Amino acid sequence: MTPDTSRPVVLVADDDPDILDLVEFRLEQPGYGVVTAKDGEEALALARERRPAVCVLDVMMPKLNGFEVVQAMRADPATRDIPVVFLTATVQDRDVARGFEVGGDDYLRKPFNPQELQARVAALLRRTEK
Amino acid sequence: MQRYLVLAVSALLIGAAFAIRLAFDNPNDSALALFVLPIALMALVWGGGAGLLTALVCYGLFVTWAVVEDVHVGAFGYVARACVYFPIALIVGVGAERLRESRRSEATVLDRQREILDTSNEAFIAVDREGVISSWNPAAENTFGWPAEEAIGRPLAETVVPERMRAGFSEGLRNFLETGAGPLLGERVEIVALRRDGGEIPIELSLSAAQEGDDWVFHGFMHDISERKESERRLREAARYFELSHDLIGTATTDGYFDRLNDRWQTTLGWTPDELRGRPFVEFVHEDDREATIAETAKLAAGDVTVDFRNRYRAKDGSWHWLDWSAAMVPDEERIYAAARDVTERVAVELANARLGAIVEFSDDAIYGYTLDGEITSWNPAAERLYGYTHEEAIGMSLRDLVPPDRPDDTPALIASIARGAPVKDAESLRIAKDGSRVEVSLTLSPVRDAAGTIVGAATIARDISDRKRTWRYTRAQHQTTGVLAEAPAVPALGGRILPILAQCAEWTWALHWVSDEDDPGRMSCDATWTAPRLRGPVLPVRVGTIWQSPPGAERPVEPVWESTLTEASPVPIAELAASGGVRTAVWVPISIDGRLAAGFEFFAHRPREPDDQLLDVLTAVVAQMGHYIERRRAEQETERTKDEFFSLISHELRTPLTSIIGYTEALAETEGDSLSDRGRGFLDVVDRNARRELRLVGDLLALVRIEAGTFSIEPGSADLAQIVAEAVEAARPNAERHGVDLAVDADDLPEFEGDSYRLGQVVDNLLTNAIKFSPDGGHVDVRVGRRDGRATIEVSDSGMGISPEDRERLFERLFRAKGAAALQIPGTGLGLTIVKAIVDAHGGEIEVESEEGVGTTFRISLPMRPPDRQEREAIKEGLV
Repeated sequence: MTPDTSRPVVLVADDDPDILDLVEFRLEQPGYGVVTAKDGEEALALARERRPAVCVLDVMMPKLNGFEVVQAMRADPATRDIPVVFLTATVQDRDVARGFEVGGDDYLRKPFNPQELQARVAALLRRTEK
Repeated sequence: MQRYLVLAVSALLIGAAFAIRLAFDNPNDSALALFVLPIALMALVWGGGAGLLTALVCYGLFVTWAVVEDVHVGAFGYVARACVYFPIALIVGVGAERLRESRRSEATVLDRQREILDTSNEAFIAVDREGVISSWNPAAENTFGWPAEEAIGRPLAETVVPERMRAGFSEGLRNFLETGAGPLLGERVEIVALRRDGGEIPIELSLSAAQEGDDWVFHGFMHDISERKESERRLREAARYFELSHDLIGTATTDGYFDRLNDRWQTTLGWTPDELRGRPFVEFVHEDDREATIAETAKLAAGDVTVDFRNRYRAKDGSWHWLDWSAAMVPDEERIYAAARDVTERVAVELANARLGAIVEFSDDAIYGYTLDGEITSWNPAAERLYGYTHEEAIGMSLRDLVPPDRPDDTPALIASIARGAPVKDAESLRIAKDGSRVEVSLTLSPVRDAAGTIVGAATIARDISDRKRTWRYTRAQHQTTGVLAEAPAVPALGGRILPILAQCAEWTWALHWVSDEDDPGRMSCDATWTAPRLRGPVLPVRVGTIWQSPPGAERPVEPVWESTLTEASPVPIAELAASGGVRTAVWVPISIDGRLAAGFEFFAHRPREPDDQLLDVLTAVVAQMGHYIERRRAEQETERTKDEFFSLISHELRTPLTSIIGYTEALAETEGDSLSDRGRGFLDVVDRNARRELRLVGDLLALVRIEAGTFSIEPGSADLAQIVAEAVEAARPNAERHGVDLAVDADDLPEFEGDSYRLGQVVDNLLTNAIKFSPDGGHVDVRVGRRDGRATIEVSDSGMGISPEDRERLFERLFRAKGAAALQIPGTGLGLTIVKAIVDAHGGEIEVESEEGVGTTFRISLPMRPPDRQEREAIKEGLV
């Protein structure tokens, strides 16, 4: 897929390929350019490389988990301001809190409501556009 | 005088006779006669001797005259004159002497009589026929009080006869004078006489009547017999006493044989006096007392008087009686006079008293008596020990002296209770000893009555319960600690909870709880402080957060330390600060976990306090308990964490595929739905519905695990209840439709409040799922959101089968399923309501259920509407918008 600068790029990372595909599908629906990563390292690399408008990250991923990816992003001026939505199947309350602690901007539980996902991403995009 | 007159007359008569002789020449015969007169007179007056002398003088004068005158007289003349003069002198003299003699003897009798009457002890009164007193001797004066001068001439009746007897007296007198009959005459009678002072005295009277010429004279001899009467009375009295006395009275011979005994012997011992008389008394004395009795009798013989000699006598029925003896021996009568009192009962009482006395004497409890004014009247040795006052000091002291001056005096109330006759039992109070130390006592008061039963004082049994109270306080502290630990408090809160309990139980001034740094146990921070309530503020500038570093090289205080004289070098935290701040006693009780110093309590007092082993034991036990608790809690937390992580992982792993199933089913229905047949779309619905059901089950299971572990918590944020309910209702709608249940919602707008939106949604989901599940086809479920009494309310009503009252009680129990549900095989896990309740509880809300079988059920939830946390709310908004 060739990069289309007219479309905002959303980075999606999840170690479960089915879910990765599903999120990609749901984000392509409103017309975002979607880049996908299968683990944290890849996600961090893509974030640096592609500077997506929004990141949708799973938390429990091999190599680097979602929190670590965000921590690294926040430490890097290049990726510091990219908004991040955690999309996770975790039910640990402290994970939610930790998500915000490390610099996450929003939080969604799996299974997710596709409309809600689209709305949250749109909201974060609006914020960065301002 | 008289006699000189006679002499002169005789001399004149003699002269006259001579003159006549000289004048007449032959007056022989007349001269003879003339001389005879003085001779006779002299003889008469002066006696025969004087008569003869006179006759000799007269004869001499005659002879002289005859010689001188030379008158021839003749022998006859001389002889004749001699024969006249001398015999006349003799006859007259002797006759006169005789007469005088008889007169004299008569006068002597009268004088004697008078003398006798005057000196007699017998009163003599003579009375004439008129009853007037004519004679009254000195004894009468003494007896009746009237002097003779006043008495003589008074009517006897008015003088010595009592008024009431006067009529009889007069009657008797008259009767006698008329008839000569006098029954009293010649008899000795005892009558009552009147004294001048009005007193009456018994007298013995002998009355006689004598005729003097024509008249009667009455003579009465009488004497006062008061004394005799009295002694007679005494004798009678003694005789009565002898028989009436409660004492055993009697005499015995000096050689030890019973003699005369009163009847009391019989009533007391059963032996009649006759049975005893003549028998040796020692025979009846108890064997053990015989020797003493014989010795005592010997003392009597030596002249001693027995007083209060006690021995035992055998009664006829074989019983033994204690007798108290008084006795004396009268050697002249060869008798022992003795009186004995039966003191058997008294001896028993004395014995009981002696036993009681011994009990009081050796009692460990202080026992003391006092008047109703609180003046101490008795004081046993235990009281001396308890209060420090000796018996001598205590007697006369006031009970108030035992009340600490700074405490309200409770003695008036205690005494008032006693005065009402209400004993006081186990009243706990505080008393002060002589040395100023305070003793906690338990007081039991009983009234003390006099013989008449009037309450005149009280006796207190005081038990020192200081130890018991202290033990009680220590035990209570241990129980309180156990109670706190049973509440399973968080470990960091533990010090603050336990510190006041331990500090209060031993009345410290100030106390701290220190927690060791995990990496450096020598570095401790204060996490709780306690100050005695009577102090205004902390004793020293140590507060929560203050850090104390154990001096380098110093041993860490891992053992309890009791410093009665705190110095800067004492091995306890802040020793330097405390010592310089005037603290004298510091006690350090460390809490070690796995041999490592974890925390510790430190207690301070301004006065030196000697080590209290009991307290140290308690403190050691408490910190050991706390150490175990902390260890257990840590282990539990570790377990919980592991368990939670495991279940979280499971949950995560289950949710991941469900995410795909649900997500792709949705996507399929969305993208390819049109190309599917209705049946195909129906199949997709089934997949979706069941995937969601499983999803909920996974969520419920995890929630249950957390509820069980006590770690269930909510994630408070800002909750819009109307929105939450609306979403839940919409999510449930397909399910309702499938069941043919009409689902209606009526939501008021509510301000957002603090709550966990996700969990509250779960509550509504669960209630709706149940409501729909239990409603029959064609039934309806109503959801109402509103506000009542400042709380948000959610009501979910169904028209289902209802819940029986007994099921209602167990409704929120884990895995409980109503009978109806089970019977109808309505699917369910029994988890839903448990989770609902846990969520409502976590929000500080309440849930209640109202149900009528066959009509329907309403679940009503009320939630407090706390404004959402601003910061968090802002943060969320920031993230969202």
